[in-house]
Amino acid sequence: MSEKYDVAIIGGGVVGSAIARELSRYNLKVTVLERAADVARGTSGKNSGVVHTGINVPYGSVKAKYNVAGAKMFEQYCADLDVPFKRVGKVIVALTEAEVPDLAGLKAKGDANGVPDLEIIDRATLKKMEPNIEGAGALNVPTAAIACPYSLTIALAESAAAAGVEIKLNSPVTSITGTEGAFEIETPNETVSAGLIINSAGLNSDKIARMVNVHRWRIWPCRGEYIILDKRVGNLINSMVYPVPPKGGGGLGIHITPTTDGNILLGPSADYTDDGDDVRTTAKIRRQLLREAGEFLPGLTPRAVITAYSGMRPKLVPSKVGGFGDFVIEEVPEAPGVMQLVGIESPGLTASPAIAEHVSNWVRERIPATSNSGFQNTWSSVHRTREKTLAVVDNLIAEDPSYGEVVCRCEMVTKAEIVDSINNKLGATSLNAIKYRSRATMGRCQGGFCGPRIVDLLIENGKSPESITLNGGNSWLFLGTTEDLRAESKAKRAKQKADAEKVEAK
Amino acid sequence: MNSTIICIVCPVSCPVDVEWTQEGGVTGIRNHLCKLANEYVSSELFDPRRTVTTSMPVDGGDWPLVSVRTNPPIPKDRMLEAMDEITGVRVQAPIHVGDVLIANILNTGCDVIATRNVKIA
Amino acid sequence: MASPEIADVVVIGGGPAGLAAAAEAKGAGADRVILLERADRVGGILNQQVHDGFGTKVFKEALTGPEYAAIYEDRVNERGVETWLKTIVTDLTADRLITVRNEKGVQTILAKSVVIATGCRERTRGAIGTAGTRPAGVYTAGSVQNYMNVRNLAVGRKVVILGSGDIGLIMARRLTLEGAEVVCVAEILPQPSGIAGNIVRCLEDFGIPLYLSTTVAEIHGKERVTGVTLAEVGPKMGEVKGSRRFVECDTLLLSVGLIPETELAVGVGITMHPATNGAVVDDSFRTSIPGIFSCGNVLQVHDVVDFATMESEKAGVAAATWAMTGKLPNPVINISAGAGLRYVLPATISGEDSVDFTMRPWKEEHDKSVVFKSGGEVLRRLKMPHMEPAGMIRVRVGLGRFNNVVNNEITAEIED
Repeated sequence: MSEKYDVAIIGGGVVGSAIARELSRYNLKVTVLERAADVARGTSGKNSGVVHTGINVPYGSVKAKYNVAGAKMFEQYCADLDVPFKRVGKVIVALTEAEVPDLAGLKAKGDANGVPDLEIIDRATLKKMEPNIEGAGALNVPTAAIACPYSLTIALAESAAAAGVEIKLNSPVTSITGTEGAFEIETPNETVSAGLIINSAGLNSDKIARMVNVHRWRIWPCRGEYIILDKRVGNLINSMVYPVPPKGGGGLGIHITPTTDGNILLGPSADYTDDGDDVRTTAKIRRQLLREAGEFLPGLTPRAVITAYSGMRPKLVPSKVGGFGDFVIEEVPEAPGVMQLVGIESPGLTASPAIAEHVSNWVRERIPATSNSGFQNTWSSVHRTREKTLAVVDNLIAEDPSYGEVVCRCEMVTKAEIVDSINNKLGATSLNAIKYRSRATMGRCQGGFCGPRIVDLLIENGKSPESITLNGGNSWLFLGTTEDLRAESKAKRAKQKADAEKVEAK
Repeated sequence: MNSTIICIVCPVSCPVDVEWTQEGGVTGIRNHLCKLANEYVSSELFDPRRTVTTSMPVDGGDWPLVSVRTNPPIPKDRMLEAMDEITGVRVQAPIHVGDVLIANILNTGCDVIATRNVKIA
Repeated sequence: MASPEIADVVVIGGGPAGLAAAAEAKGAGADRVILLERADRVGGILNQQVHDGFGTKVFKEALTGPEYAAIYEDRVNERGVETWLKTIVTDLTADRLITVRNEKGVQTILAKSVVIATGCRERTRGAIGTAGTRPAGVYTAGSVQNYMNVRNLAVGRKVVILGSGDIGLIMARRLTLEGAEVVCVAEILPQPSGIAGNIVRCLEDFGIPLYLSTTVAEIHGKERVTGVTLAEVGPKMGEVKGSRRFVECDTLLLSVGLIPETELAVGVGITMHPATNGAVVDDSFRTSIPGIFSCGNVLQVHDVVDFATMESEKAGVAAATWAMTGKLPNPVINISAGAGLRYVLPATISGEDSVDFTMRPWKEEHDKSVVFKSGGEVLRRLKMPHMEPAGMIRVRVGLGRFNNVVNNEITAEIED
C-alpha cells in the first residue's frame, strides 16, 4: 500500500521548500521527500546568504529571469516568514587600478538586467563607505541584500507543513517507476505514489532525472569552503565586499559577507569534487581565504575565526569547461509530469520565490485546485529574543519563565526557544536541527557550554541519550550512560580474567 | 640511590630529588616547595598509592551522579579492580560529603566516600 | 521592569573565583553582596572536576572539585551573601549598572563595586582550524567532563585526545577508568601543556602514549568520527612530510587551551592585557574602570584553583573596601615583565602592602631565579628549581622591599 499524493517534491532545499509552501496555498496533497534528517542540509544551508540583484548573470538567461524576479519578491517573502533580511548593499571592489576598467562591464551587465542605482565609485568614496577596506575603486550595488538561507528554508518547510504538506525526512529516493498521474517513488521507508514530481534534489537532481530516464545532465559538485568570524569583529564591514569576478571562472570569487546575525563570512573557495557529500574543510583553503580576504581587509586576524565549513554547488558545467551554466527549469519530453530543476546553484536562493511561483502555476495547469483555508500567509518558526527590547523580553518572561533562562549565552538563546525548536513542525530533533532553528551553539564557544543543557532539554522532551544525534543517521553523540560503558568494560575484564584462568588450568 | 620523582599531590608538580635506600627509606629530599612532598615520595618509592575518583549513580537525588573518591588512597595497581567493585552499586539520596558509600573496598582498609552533597529531588 | 536594586558589591560568576570574592567581600563588612550565577548551582567548573588535587595550598590536603566547591558554597551562605542562580548578566555599564535576566524577568542592579569573575571557555576545533569532515564525536575536553561526571553520559569507546592541557590529561584518566580506550594524546608543542604531575598520574599510570610535536591534521568520518590523521610538526609548526598516519577512533577530544570570557569586560571598555587576554589590574584587582574589579580565570588562566581563590579573596576585600569607603591605595608603581617572562600581574601596585605577583615564563627553565629590580638594584630574588609555561609562578614581595623603588618602575625577569 502506498500513500497517494498529487505532487511529490524531491529535495527539501530552499527551492523544494519554497515550492511546498507555494503549493500549500491550494487544496493539493503534497509531500516533500528529503534524504537528510532535516531540510536545508545541503546547498541551501551553506552559502553566502546573498539576495543577488542580477548583476552577475547574463541578460536573457534563465538565471537572470528568475534572479531579477526573485529579488523583487524577497523582502516581503522574508517579512511574511519572519526570516532575517537586511539590505546592506554590496561593493564590488577593484583591488588594483588594473581592475578598475572591469567595473564598467559589470555595471553594463547589471544595467541590462534592470538593476537600479548602480554606481562606480572612486577610492575615496569607497573608503568613506568601508573604512577598513582597501581598493582602487568599486561598483556600488546598493540594492543587494542578505537573508538567512537556512532560516528561510526551515520557515518555508514548516509553514508548508503547518498548512498540510507532509515533509518526510530521512527519505532518500531510491527509484521511480510509472508515468504522469501514477508515479511510484521508493524510499527505504515506503513507496509514495504521486501524480506529478518536482525534481528539486540539488546535488542529486541528475540522479533523480536518470530515475525517470532523463539522461541530459550531470551535476559536477563544486565545494566551497567558508570561514565564519566572531561577531566581535562584525563591524569591520558595513556591506558585502566582493572582488571583481575571476576571469573564466564559474564563481564570483572569495567575498566578505556580513550575515544577518552580525558575523562575517569569508569564502567560498571553488574545488570540484566527485562526491557531493564531501563537505570537508582543508588547511590549505583556510590559509587561502584568510590571505585573500586579508588583501581587502588588512584588519583581519585569524583569532577572530569561530569555525569553518563547506557548502557544495550543484554545477552543470565541469571544471575543465568552466564558465557559465544556466539553470534548468523545465519539463522535458522524455519525462512528462516531472518538473526538472537542475543546476540550481547561485543565485538559487534569490530565485527561489520566483521558481516556486512558476512551478506552482505549472502544477495547477495540470491539477486545478481550490484555495486551502488552512494556509496562513505569515509564519514564525522560533522567537528570536536576542532581537527584542528588554521590555518585550520582560513581558515574554512574565508569560513564560523559560524565556528567562538563557541557555546559549554566546547567541543569547533562551530555554523557550530551544524547546520550541525541539518541538518543530517537521519533527527534526538532531542537535543541528535545534542549532539551525534557534542559533544555539553557533557562537564563539561552539556549544561547549550550552551543548550539555540542550541535551538535558532533549532528554526532558522524550529523547533517550542513545537516540540523540548531531545530524541524524549514524551521527550519534552518546553510547548511553557512563554506567553502561563502565559495565561493558567490567565485563570485558572479567572475561579476560576467566580466559587467562582457563589457559592456566590447561 | 638517587631518584627524581614528580610530586603529584598538588598541581605545582615539584620534580623532587630523593636520596633513598631499600632498607633505610628516604635519607634526603630537595627541590620541593612544601612538606606534602615528604610523605608522597616515600609512599611512591615503597608503596605507590592513588586516589581513585569516579562517580556512582544516585536514586532520587537532585543530581544523577554522586562523585566519590577512595579515602585514603588505594594501592596504585588496584585502581581498575576498584572501579569494577564500584561499578553496579547504586546509592540513595540524600548523600553528604564524606558519607562512606563502600566500606573497606577490596579489603584495602580504604573506603569509598562521597565528595558531593546530593539532596532529595 | 522594576527600578534598580542597590548593592554594595555584585560578583559576576559563581565559580571558585566568584565564591571566594563574594565570601570575603561580605566578610570584610560590605552590607549587601549579590553573587550572580548563570547555572542552577554555584561552583562552576569545580562541579564537574571530580578528580582530586584541589586545596593543597589553602587546606593542605588534596580535595576533589565538588568538595572544594562545597566549602565555599557553605561559606557564602553562612556569611549571608545573596546568591541569584540561573541569572545571566546581559549588560554592564561603566556606572556599574548591571542588567540581568532570569526566570523572574529582566532586572537591573546598581552596585558600588562590581567583581568580574566570569572564568573562561575552551578553545574549539574551529578556532584552531582542524581540517577534515564535520562528524559527531568531536568534543572539547571540558564538555565531555560535564557529560561524563555530571550528566552520566558516555561519549565514545575509542578516544584520541588532541592537546595535553590539564583538562585533557585528566580526561584521559577519567575515560580510562570509566571504560573507554584512550588511544593517545597528541600535543603540537615539543613540551606538554599540562603540569608534570598530570603526565605521571593520568598518562604514565595507565600506559597512555603522549606524542609531542604532533597534531591532528585531518578528521575523518561522515556521520560519526571514524578516525583521525596524525602528523608531526617541525620547529616552525609546519607539517613534517611523510609523517601522516591514520589512527582509528570514534571520538576526538580537544584540550587546546582556555580563553578568558571577557565579553563583559571588553564591552564596558576595560583596558585589556595583550599577554593574558584578561583585564589590566592593580594590586587591589581594580581594572581601568573605577569600581570594577576582576579576578580568577577571566583575569588570567590559573592552573591551581587555590591561587585563583587567594587572588579572588583579595579582590573581594578590595571591592568591599571601595564600596564602603570609596578609597583604595593609589597604584603608583608600574610593573613590567622583563627577560624570560611572558607577563606579570598586577600591572601596577601601590607599594603600601605586600604583593603576590603571578607570572608565566616563556619556556621551561631550570635552576634560575625570578628577580624583581628597580633602578638596577635587586628588590627580591627567588631561586626556582623548575619553571615551565604550564605552571603559573607566584612570588610574594614583602612591603619593606618597595622602599627602594626608583622612578616608580619595577621589572620582573628570569636570571641565572
